Amino acid sequence: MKKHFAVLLSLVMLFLLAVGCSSNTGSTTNNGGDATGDGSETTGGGTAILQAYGDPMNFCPDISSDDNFYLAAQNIYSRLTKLDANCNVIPDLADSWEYSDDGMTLTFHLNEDATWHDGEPVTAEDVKYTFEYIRDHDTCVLSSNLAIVDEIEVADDHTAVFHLNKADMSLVATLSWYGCFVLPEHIYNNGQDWSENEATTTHPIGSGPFKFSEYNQGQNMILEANPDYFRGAPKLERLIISIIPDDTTAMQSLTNGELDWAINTPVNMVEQLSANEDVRLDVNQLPSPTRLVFNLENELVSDLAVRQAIAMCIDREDISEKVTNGIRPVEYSAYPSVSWAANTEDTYPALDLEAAEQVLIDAGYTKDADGYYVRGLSILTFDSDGNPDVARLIAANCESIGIEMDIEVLEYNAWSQRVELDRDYVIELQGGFVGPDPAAMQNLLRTDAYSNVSGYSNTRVDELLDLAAAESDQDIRKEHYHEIQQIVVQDLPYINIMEYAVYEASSASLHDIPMDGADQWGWAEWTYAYFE
Amino acid sequence: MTKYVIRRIFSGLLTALIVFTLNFIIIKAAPGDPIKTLMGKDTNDPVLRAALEEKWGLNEPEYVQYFNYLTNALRGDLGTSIIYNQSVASMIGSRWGPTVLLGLVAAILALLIGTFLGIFAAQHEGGIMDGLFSMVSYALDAMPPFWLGLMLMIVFASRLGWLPTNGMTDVRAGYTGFAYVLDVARHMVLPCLTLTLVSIPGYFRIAKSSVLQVSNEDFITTLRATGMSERKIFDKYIFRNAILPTITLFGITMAFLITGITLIEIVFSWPGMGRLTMTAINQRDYPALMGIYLVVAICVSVVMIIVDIVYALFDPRIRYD
Repeated sequence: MKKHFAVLLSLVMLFLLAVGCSSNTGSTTNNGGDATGDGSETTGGGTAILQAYGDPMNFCPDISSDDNFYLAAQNIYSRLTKLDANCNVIPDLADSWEYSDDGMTLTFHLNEDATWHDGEPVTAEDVKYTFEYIRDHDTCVLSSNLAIVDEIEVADDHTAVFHLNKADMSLVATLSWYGCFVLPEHIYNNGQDWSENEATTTHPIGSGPFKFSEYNQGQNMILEANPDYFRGAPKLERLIISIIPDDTTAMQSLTNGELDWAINTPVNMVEQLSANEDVRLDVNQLPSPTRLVFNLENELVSDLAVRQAIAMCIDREDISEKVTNGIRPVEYSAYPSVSWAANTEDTYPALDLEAAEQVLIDAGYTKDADGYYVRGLSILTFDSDGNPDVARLIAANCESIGIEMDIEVLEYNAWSQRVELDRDYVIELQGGFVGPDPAAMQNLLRTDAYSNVSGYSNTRVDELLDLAAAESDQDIRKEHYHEIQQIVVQDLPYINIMEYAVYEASSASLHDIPMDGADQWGWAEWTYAYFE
Repeated sequence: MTKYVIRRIFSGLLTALIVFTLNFIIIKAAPGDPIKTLMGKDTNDPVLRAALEEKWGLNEPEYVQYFNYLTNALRGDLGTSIIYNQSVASMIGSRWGPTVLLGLVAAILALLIGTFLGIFAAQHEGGIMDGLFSMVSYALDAMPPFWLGLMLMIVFASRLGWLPTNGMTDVRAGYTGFAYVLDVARHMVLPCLTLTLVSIPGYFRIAKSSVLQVSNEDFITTLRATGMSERKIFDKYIFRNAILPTITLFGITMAFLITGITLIEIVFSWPGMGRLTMTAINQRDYPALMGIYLVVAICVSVVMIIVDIVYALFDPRIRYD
């Protein structure tokens, strides 16, 4: 027995030793956590540690729309234009750009100081090569969007002219978002498929503020400042993108100085963190409303009266308060009301349970023995952003006026299969980006558009979408979009419920982080950030 | 004995093949596919989908896809991940180390501590310590590992500041050499402690009950009647018989180690196999999943064969069967 005890005791000692070592080295960690850390001894830049949820798929930003690489991509690579924290288009490689009067050509004037991380200059040839490759390769995520580009003309080293076969004012915004980073022709144009290129698999070469340095699978990616960045060297010395899959762990890491910026603050931790002086919280709002979508091909909801009744059962204020502590603003417009294109006059009907029941009675529905006017409806959603709770609150109100409403919660991929591929649902609830340009409305509304999962079709809406896309006068565009929204709130193919907003948490000693730079720098760009 | 070993190896191979096949059927039956992840949440472009399906051979009939996986696997090629476009073998290669390190240390600690406490409790059955240990054991058994991990993190990392919160190394410091080893050890304490605590009850219960069971056997009573000392009876007869079920449990734990500690890996951002598997499931990365499960199936088979052989050595009744 004593022998066993001795073994056990020695193991406990070993464990304590490990903890003991930790308190020794622990002090250095905490200094590092105070942010300037080791960096202050060299260039005064310091290292910022940023969160990612998972590993990047690869290092080429134009093949897939990969959220886990997007943050790194926006600091390694440049686009022609980029989006700021308010989703406005601002210059990136292109200092300026203009459409011809007929909207059929789009000219970009590139910054002449831009160079690749290997020292080669960035030229209009790179632009031509990148976007023509994307257009010609169906496996690139932006390929279909570039079908309107006939040819890209290299007017001179720093001027690229896009000749279009159809006027589209939203092209600039499209080129500021996913899958549109300019790639170095001298690296990529070697006969290989982009996915096989060494720059994609092991060592990306971009023209952005930070250079790729190191990648440790499952752990982190390390970027070093690019002193030759064409808009000035970044103030930070290094960016470390650390893979932390769990939000709660990220919050603990942030308060313990092991992380400087986290993607998403869980609603239940906002209060605790706002009391912490070392943590800064900012609301990040995106035009990605949560919306209830009806399958118009399903006879249960093809009757407008049923959709109207459901629309009047939605208590947006209550949903925002209960599900998100009021962080996410309610949305009554068919397009996010923060946008210039939003129609805030013609809106969805407000909560009115009595009127909702009256609509059903007027339409000739009668109560059955169980007290239901309509039976067999269900909301299909996936477990993210509080969607199931939103669905529950809507269903409870529907049930109270005699609409039988079930809820089905699936895992995301299963949901996607049912909704987007099989169209096997009655009502579905989802969020989703509807920017950067209001032209994105066409994805939801145009007859047979691929994200038009409700199967909505209205010839006037299709006509207005075409007119608005080709129109260069923003006031006239706005009128077209307003009319579209007016039709949408009457026809009700989908109903917006609330905007998307989360608290972004970061270290309080960090300044000029991406969200501080509306109109000045990109919404995930760390060029200007510095530690106090 | 040789015949017994050969028979076990053969059934091990058969198990791996069946697992491989079942796994293919199950993941193909799951709704959704890896193309959705490649395309991103904000697009649903049918041209893009068709192009990607063709690129990854997902437009082929299912049986063709199955035989492709199988022939590749038989040649030792685990294939290429659809999501990450890199060889599944290299992905597993960079992830198995951290998991085995964490899982093995925790399993050995849990085995030693749990068994020791179980034996102690059995020898003092009905005493205060027995009651206390049993109570703690039930409490630990009832705790979800991720919750326990989070609580330990809040206490030891956030409140006391003794230990790091996430990851395997201090990325800001970037230690090398011996300092690196110490750094990893420090980062390992909390996940390892969590895993050890939740694994102790299993060993505790099995050790306690089998010691009690063996103690009540007739031959022990006979030995007592001969006047042999309790110490000698325990060391020579009770312990050796009672330890057999523990060996089995340890074998099973080892086998499931590769994917069984996922939640702890997620809570502590530990870069192991569990997270790799979980991500592959969420993204429907078929080749990665087929590869991971094949490796797991082989590991389970090998460990089970070893356990059976060890068992047969300890207990002759088994090999004479």
